[in-house]
Amino acid sequence: MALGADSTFAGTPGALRGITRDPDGQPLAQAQVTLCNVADKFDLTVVSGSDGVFLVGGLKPGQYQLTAKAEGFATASPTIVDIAADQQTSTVNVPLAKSVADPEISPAVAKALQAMQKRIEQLEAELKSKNAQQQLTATAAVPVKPATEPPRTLLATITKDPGEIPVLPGTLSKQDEKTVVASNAAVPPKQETQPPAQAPAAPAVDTQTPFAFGDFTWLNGSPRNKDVVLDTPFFTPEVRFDTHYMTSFNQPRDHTIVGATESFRSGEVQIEQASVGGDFHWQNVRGRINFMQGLFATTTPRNDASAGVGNWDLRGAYKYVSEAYGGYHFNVNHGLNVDAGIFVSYIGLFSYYNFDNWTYQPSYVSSNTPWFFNGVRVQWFPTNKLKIEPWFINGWQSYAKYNGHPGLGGQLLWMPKEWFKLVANQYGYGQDNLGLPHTERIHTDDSIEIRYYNNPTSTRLSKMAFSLTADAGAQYGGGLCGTCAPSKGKESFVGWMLYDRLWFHKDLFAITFGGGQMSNYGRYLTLLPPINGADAVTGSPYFTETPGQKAHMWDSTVTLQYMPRQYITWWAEVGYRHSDVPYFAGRGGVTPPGYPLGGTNGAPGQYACLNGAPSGASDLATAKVNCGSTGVWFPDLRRSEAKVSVGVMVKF
Amino acid sequence: MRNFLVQSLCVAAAVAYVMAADPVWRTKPAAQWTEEDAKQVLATSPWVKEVRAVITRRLTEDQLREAGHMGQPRGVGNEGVDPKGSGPKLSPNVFSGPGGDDRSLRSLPQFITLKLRWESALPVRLAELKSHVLEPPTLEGDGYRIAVYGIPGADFKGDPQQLGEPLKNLAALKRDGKKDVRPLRVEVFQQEKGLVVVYLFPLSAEITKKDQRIQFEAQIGRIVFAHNFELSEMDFMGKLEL
Repeated sequence: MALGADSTFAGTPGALRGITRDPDGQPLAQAQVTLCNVADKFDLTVVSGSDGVFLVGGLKPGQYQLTAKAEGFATASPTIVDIAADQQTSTVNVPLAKSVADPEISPAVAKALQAMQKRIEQLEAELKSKNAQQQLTATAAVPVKPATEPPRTLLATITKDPGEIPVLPGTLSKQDEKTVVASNAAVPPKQETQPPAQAPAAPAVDTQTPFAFGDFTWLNGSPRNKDVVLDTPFFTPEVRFDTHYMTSFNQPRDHTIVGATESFRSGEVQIEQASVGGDFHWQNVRGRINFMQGLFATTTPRNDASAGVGNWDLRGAYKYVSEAYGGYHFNVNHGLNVDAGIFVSYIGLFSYYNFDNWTYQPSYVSSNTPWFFNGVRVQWFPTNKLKIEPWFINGWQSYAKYNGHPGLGGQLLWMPKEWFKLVANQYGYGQDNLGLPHTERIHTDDSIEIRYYNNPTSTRLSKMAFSLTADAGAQYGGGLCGTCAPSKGKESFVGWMLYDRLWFHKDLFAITFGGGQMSNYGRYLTLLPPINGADAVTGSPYFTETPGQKAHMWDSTVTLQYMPRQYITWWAEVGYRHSDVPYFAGRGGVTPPGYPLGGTNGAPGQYACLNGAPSGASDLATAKVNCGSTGVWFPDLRRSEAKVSVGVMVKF
Repeated sequence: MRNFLVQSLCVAAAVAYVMAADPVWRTKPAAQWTEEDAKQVLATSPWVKEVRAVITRRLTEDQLREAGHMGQPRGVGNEGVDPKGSGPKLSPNVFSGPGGDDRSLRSLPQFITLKLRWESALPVRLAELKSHVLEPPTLEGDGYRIAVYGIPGADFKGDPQQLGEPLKNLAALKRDGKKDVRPLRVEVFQQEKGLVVVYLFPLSAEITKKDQRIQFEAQIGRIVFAHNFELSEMDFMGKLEL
């Protein structure tokens, strides 16, 4: 067994013959013997035969360091051997000692050492592959490829110190070895220069979670909380309290304020909303419920006429629930949710929950448009700045389906910058009128919000922003039309609202100015005043909502909010509203006198007599006859209303 | 005599400068690296960089819901990243307060220092051997391997590959004029002092010196960072080593 080693030097090569032996002096087969030329570091590895003999020929004369190892034996200490020239063969005995297990080495360490050995083998293979590659090509244009797994059959030289840089086995060509050594040792030190200026890395923000790249707590319709007090892996609670004192300058004697979804009682302290609920979440399964007590529990359901279809008292079923839905989150793009249940709606920009809003009493475009939907929604986030949310719902702010068609719609929310929000809500197909089975409704509601100044650390003006909302809609079919003359059954809605808000002293205070207008032919989105307890199902002879009837209204408010902590808002607001038809409760109120049944006579669809009793008729002529000398009672409806309110809202 | 002293000091300073300016991976054969040299390679070489990462703010439930989620995100880079005591403090005084400044530490972005290491680069592997570094376990398969050390978190048990799966689409190697390269696999290993996340990028990325600079960008839960590696610096034995 011999291996040629070098044919490039001048002179005649020498050879080395040896025998590997075990501690008993017996020949040891399959031992790996490594020779390293002391002068030029060339290495060779050979394996002893079955008789323990190894022979290496073609060796450049000189000194060599010899090491040997075999499985189950300790590595032989390095020995220096001299190789003579002129074909002379040197001989050497290589004894190997029995490997003694180190009692201090734990299995973990042994495992680690095994891993190290594996890595040594890998590195040797890498060095081999690197140098072969280096010889073939210029470096600059060649892709850098980390080494591949070494062939498992490769014999490797183990070094005494596992941390020592492994040397190449003799399986490499001499040229390979030269290259390795040369490149490892003789790389000229590069002229150290200043490191090139680092190009600025991309800004480190969460680009995965939708809208997490910015702080949107300034938005109208979004809670401003920066923290959640308590959350667990399964449930995150939510608690809201909303109490106010509100008074109308009309001083209605029945303390009733009409024509809004936020203002209901005058001259009293009232709990508008007390909600407890939260989000349930586990492994992408999700559910949310928010219960609702306070005025909202009765004032919201009354505006939904769909409960007049069929039975089972849907208003009773849902009156204490503002949100209740369950669904699943899919990890698609930036998220995809499918939820079913009852949701709050963001048609009209403002949140159903007053804590989230810039003002307490929003304009008609918000107040008169839906606060909830009952159905199925899909939320798809194709990017972290865009949400596309189609709806399949029972109808327009309805617990039930009025007629044959469900409602179809959707929301597109785009917030490309922290200071900009665009939201567009569209609705159609639904037949949302009691007794009008062939009349469909369409509606568009679109808003932008822009924060045009931001200096959050300022103790003076810290932020400025505005929101603008525009709505348009119509009803058509079944003899009605959206664009015809009022006399021919016009049913349309146009409206807008604009609010501007200024924050002061690091957002401790904020003042909001704004208002809006609406024109609603057919009054199908005009909130029915609760005259004598009327609601969307009963209707009222005192304020009819028939095709072509006009209702043009405008309003404005100034709201001051004091927000010492993120969970509480103290507020005060003055507002003025105007209508071109008698609409707001005046001093006489909207409740018939002298009747004990909760201030109403139980027959809101009829005219009432002056003594409060039902007339038995919903047409005035018959009512006059029926009431006789008592006379017919009329509510005190005015064209304008001014009111002032103060309150406190809490949200955890 | 004084001149001699000044000259000596100048010479000593120059020698020190030259020594300092010549990093071990450029001037010394790998076979002669000492353990100290290896540590230098693992600490300050071009294949090892400390980066200032951002722990993005903890979102509120409202913000999460608006983003289509519910509940705080779980997993590597999400759990255990908020410093203890960084949560909100409730005050019984509801009539005065700091307004917009009423927020917890964790509702603001925090910074954290991470260490990035090209584990597949030959000098790093040699230095690891020399300094007896056994971690992280080597990913099977060929490719460019980049490890991120210093991710906070404890008690992450389970298959490293499963732990790393959600991070696969949140990392990339970026170069000017070329398509981003996404990792083939990501694995997470629990260590005593935190987590190591190892990314395996495909060889087909074909990174060359002509690329000049490569940016490694990753999001690990709420931890986000990006770092530019200058390829001209990442030379070892006359070759670009990654």
